[in-house]
Amino acid sequence: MLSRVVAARGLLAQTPVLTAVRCSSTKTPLMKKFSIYRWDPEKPGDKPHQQTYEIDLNDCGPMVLDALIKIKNEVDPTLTFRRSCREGICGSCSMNIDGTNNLACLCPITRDGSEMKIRPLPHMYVVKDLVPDMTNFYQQYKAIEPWLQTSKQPEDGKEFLQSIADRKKLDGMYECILCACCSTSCPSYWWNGDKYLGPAALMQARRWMADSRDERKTERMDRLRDPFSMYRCHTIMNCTKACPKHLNPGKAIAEIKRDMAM
Amino acid sequence: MMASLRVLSFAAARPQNLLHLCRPATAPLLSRVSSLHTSAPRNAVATKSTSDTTGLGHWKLERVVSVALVGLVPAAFVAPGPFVDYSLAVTMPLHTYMGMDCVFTDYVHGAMTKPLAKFLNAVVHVGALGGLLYFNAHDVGISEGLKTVWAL
Repeated sequence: MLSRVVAARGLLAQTPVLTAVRCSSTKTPLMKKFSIYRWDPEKPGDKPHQQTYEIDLNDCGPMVLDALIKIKNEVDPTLTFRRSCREGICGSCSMNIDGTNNLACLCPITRDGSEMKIRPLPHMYVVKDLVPDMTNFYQQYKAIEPWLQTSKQPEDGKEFLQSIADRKKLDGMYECILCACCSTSCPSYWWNGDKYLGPAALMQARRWMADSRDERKTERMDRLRDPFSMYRCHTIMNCTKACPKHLNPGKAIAEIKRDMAM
Repeated sequence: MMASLRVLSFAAARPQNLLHLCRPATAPLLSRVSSLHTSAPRNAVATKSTSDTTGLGHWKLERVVSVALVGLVPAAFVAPGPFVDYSLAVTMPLHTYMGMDCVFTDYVHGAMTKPLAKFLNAVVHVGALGGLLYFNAHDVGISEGLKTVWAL
C-alpha cells in the first residue's frame, strides 16, 4: 500500500527531498522534514552534506528514531545509523538532534512545521552518516579500569556485601549507558579529547572510587593528577545538561576534585 | 589504527563464511570494508599512576588565590594599607597568570607555540608583579591608586 515518491523538490540538485506518503491514508498528511548528515566514505569524492527527507507523521512513531527507521525502511535504505533497544537503555542511537546531543529513541519529533536537523555526535570521527568512531571513547573508559579492585576475599566466600547506605552512593553514576552524549558535548573534550578523559569516563572513575568494596581509591585518584586526564574539566556543565539519563557527571567530577584536594 | 581496524575486521569476518556461500560477489566488498579507513584512535590516555602532579597543584593554588582575592579586594577599600597592597600585588598577577596559563593549556597545541605562549605569559606577569611592587614601594600604592582612579 505504500508508494515511494522520490522527487526533486526544486532545492539543490545534489540533495533532493525524498518523500514517503501513504496513498490510502484518510487523515490529512502531517508532513515533516528531516535534514540528515550524510557521508559515505566508500563513494569516491563524496563530501559530507545535509540531505532532506520528508515523511508523514500520521504513519510514524513519536520519536526521532522512529522517523529514522521509517526513512531507512521506506525512503532510503542507504541511510546509516546505530540503534538497538529503542528505549533508552543501550546508548546506541546517540546523535546531535537540533543542536543538542540526545538519544534518538528518547527525543520526541517536534510537532511544529520546522525541519529537524540531525547530525552525528560533534567532534567525533565519522565512520558513515550518523555513525561516529567510538574507539577513543571506549579506550578512555578502559583506562579508568572500571572493575572492582580488591585484595580481600569475600567473607562468605561468594560475594562482597555492602550496606544500603554504601550502595546508595553509587546511585546516579552506575546508570550510565556510555552513549557519549556528555563527553561529545564538552568543549574541553573537543579541544583535548586525546588526553582529557571526558565526563563519561570520569564519572565512571568516581563510581569506582565511591564503591565501599573497592580498595584502590588512592591509586585511582593518583592517575588523574596530571593537567590533562581530569583537570581540563572547567565545570562547563554541558555534560549534565546533555545527559539523556539525567545523570550529573559534572557533580561526580567535582567530587573527585574535592577528594583529591583534601 | 590497530584497534579500529580490529573492530571492523571482526565485524566483517564473522558473516563472511555465511555470505560467501550464497553470494560469491560479497568477498571483494568485504575486503573493501575491512580496509575501510575510519580513524586512528587518538590515544594518549594515562593508564598508570602519573608522577606529574602539576594538574592537582595548579587547581589547588587557583582555588586558594581566588578565595584570597574575595577577601583582599574589599579589604583594599575597607582597610587600605601596605599589607593589603603587597598581598594584592602578588595575588592579582598570580590569579591572571594561572587563568591565562589554563587558557593556553586548553587551546594552544603546537609543539613550539605552546611553550612560547606559556613563556610569554610568564614574562608579562613577572613584569606586572614587578610593576605593582614598584608602585607600592615608590608611589601611593594599589589601594590609594584605585581611589585616585575612581575619583576621576
